[in-house]
Amino acid sequence: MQPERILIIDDEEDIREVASLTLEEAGFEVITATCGREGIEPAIAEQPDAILLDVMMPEMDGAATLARLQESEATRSIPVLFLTAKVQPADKRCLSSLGAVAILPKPFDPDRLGYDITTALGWTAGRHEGTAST
Amino acid sequence: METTNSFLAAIRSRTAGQAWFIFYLALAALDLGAVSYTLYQHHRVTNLLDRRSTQDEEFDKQDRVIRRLGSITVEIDDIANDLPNSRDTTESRDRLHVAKSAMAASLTALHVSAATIPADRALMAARVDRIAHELRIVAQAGDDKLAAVERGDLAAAAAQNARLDASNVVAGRLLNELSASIDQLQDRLFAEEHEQVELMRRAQIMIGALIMAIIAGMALYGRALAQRVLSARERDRYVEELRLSNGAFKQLSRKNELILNTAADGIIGIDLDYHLTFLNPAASAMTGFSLEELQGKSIHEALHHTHADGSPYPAMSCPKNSALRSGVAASSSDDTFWKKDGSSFSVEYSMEPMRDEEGRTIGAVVTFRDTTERRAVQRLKDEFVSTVSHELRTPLTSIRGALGLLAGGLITKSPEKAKRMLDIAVSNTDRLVRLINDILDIERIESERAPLTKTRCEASALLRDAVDVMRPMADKAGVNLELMTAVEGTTVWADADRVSQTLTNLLSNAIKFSPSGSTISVSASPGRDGVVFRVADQGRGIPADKLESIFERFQQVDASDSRDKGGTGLGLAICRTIVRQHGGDIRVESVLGDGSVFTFSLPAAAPQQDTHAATPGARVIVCDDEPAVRETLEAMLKQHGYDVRMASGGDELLGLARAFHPDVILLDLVMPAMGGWQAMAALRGDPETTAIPVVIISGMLAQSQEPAPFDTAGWVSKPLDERTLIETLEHALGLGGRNARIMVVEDDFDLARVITASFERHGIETSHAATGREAIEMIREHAPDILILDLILPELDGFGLVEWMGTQEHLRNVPLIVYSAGDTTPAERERLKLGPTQFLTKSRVPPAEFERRVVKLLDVMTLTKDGVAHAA
Repeated sequence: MQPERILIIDDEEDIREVASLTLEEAGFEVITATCGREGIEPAIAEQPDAILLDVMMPEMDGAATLARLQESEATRSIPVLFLTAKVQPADKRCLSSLGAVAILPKPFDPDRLGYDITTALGWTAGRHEGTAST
Repeated sequence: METTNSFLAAIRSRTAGQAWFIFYLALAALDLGAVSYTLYQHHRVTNLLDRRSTQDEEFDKQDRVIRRLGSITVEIDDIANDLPNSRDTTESRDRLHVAKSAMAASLTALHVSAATIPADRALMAARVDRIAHELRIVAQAGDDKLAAVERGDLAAAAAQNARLDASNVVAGRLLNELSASIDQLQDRLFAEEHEQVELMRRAQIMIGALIMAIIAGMALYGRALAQRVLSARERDRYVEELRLSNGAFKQLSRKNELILNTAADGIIGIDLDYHLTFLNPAASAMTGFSLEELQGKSIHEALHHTHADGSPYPAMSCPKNSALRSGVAASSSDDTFWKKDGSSFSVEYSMEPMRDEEGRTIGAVVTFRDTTERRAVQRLKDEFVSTVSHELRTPLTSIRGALGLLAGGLITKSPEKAKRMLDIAVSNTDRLVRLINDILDIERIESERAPLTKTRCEASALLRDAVDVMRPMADKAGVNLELMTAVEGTTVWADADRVSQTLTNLLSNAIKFSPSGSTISVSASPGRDGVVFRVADQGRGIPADKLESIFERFQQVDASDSRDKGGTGLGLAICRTIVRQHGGDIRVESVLGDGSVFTFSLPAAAPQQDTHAATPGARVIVCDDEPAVRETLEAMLKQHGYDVRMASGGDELLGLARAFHPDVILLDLVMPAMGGWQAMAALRGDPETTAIPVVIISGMLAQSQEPAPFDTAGWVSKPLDERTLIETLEHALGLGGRNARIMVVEDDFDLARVITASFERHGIETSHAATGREAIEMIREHAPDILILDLILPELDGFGLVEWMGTQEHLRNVPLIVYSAGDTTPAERERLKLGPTQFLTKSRVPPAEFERRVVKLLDVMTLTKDGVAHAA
């Protein structure tokens, strides 16, 4: 059984590192990218089961990256979750209309991040060995 | 009643008065006529009466004569009848003769009497003649019968007797007729007389009526006249009142106009058809329309025709529409008005229906305010909060994640990973702390809760200090710091700590982005806009499109810089805020890969002044518990010409301050018994000492006491630097460490209120005196920094006040603004000279412009007192 593979796109190195470790510890396989532009290619090539996407990034931000992912045939079906520090009500309103499966707030609780992702995606919690039901 | 009224109304006018006079004359003439007529009639009646009494006698006499004549005829008849019985006719003849004589006498008497009756004289005479004729026949018949008897002719006697009887009958009838006719005449005369009396009576009634009419007319005319006189007086009084109220009205309308013109909000008046009838200058300025352009146009069509998004805004759906119809107020805090040039602006408006005395809605007043700026500020604030939230959450995410993983024991198997997580947590905690410090710092600086403590600073000293601070960091990075010596005597008027902060921030940035072995050069030189500081590095440079934005908050060239270089994205924003607060500017030039040059300018300090001349004998109290400090300060201050007193503690200070009335107090903060702030609270609490500026001398930095509990006139840190101390003292003495003080001398209270309010908006302390005498009393208490003077004042006018101030040493140079109703002549201007003097005419300089000029003048003064030299 292959573990679910998650692509983390975040420009903050420390956060990439912490989030990667968190998800690895939770039984996921993690790929990382340092910005939106860099994230498109692994998304196409690696076909992750889900993408954890930061919003505030230079040049191409989370919204633009999501739009690019939805444009492309190869990545359209990959579910995207925002992991963002933009959690003011107004910010959330803006993000919620973009088509992401969920908006997860920063800071995140490492004990819950994996659970929150599987719940949001409709995967059975703890079914790390199961196939993605996308 | 109505006619009387109209008559009265008619005679009120002058022509009616004349008509009345003519009418009155006619009435009087008529009255005179009636009186004359009555007199005449009276005369006639008297005559009549007079005549009647004689006539009555005559009538009586006639009556008697007629009756006598009757008896005479009977006598004759008797004689005639007796004749046949007597033989002797002599007796009969004698009797007949007597009777005939009596008859003749009576007839003569009747003739005479009848002739005395004027009326019907002829008729009477004729009748008497006929009677006489018949009686003569009777007498003749008697004679003839007698003769016949004597002759014995019985037949003749009988004939004569018949003739006598017949005539006797006729004479008796005639006498009766005459008697009746006399009665008739008498009756007629009486009737005639009665008629005359009646006429007289009527005339008298008429006289009475005329007199009544005259009296009534006089009464009415008199009343009308009195009313006319009263109404004339009334009218005079009314005219006087009108004149007074007209003046008051003009003054009131001038005040109202002032208020409307001064209002910062736009004020628009509309009628019931939403057509514009009024536009105040603020509304005109905001919309770009003049009243002439909008008068009579619909307010909605003119200003409110389109929504903010560009879609048409039908008047029917506008809340203003329903408001005027239902007579209730309408308002909107978020709407858009359109200007003449086609652009729009955010407004907040309210519309209040305008009602007349009867409560009918006759239009509305729309008040509005441009909220573009407020909206922008709000948006910036929201953005800032959102950004700050994001910026704080970012390091917290790493910290929370790393610590969570450690706490959950998930990574116990790999000590390297655990160590890495701890490192991440620590470095992000540092970053978070820096971030919080910078956020607090920038907020404090921008909110001006930490006012600048400006002193004269040597540029080279500032540079040297900053370089010394940053040297260790530069050494660590292997970067050379090159300090170019500033031109000797290059000084700035600035807050030294803030300038140091700016310089270290710039140096820190430069070091972070400089490759090892490169050089950073720092310099300062006098330039066109004061003194220019320069920090040049040989680092990676800044892309052209970022040159402006890097001074914005949380704007970095590269997001990873905040982690790699330990920046917060706020450093340059802080630098710009500090520089701008000093009135300077900061900019950067850069060539990618070659390095960047940051330059900022600060105002140059004025050349050093002779302190002795600047503050001759100013009185200072030094309050410090340490004798050594007191001695040092006393010597130092005396050398500079100050009149110095010493206090070793708060209590002593308070007593001394009340007795000595110092111009400034130097106060130590840390003292036993009563601390500096406590002493200051006591000083501020006492009206006698509350205005004395206080300069703090303390081992602590001014910034460490945020916020200071009181406004201080300056802050000098220990160890004391002589020059800094003297400069701070001078500065404190300049404006006394207080707000600028303006005195308005104006007898129009409303105008004074408008002026006072407008200056208080600028934080200027404004006092008001209504008369020249009141002004003198107030000036004796506190000399103003500027005097605003109306010329025409009660008690003592503007000229008198200026003359008095000219005689006072310390008031001779007070700047003066003459704000008078009329123009002043050159001669008057010559009399009105104090310090810098301006002449403004109320009608020509509107309050807004007036306010601007005064504030400008005040700014110039304040800057001069601050000792800032303006680069010419």
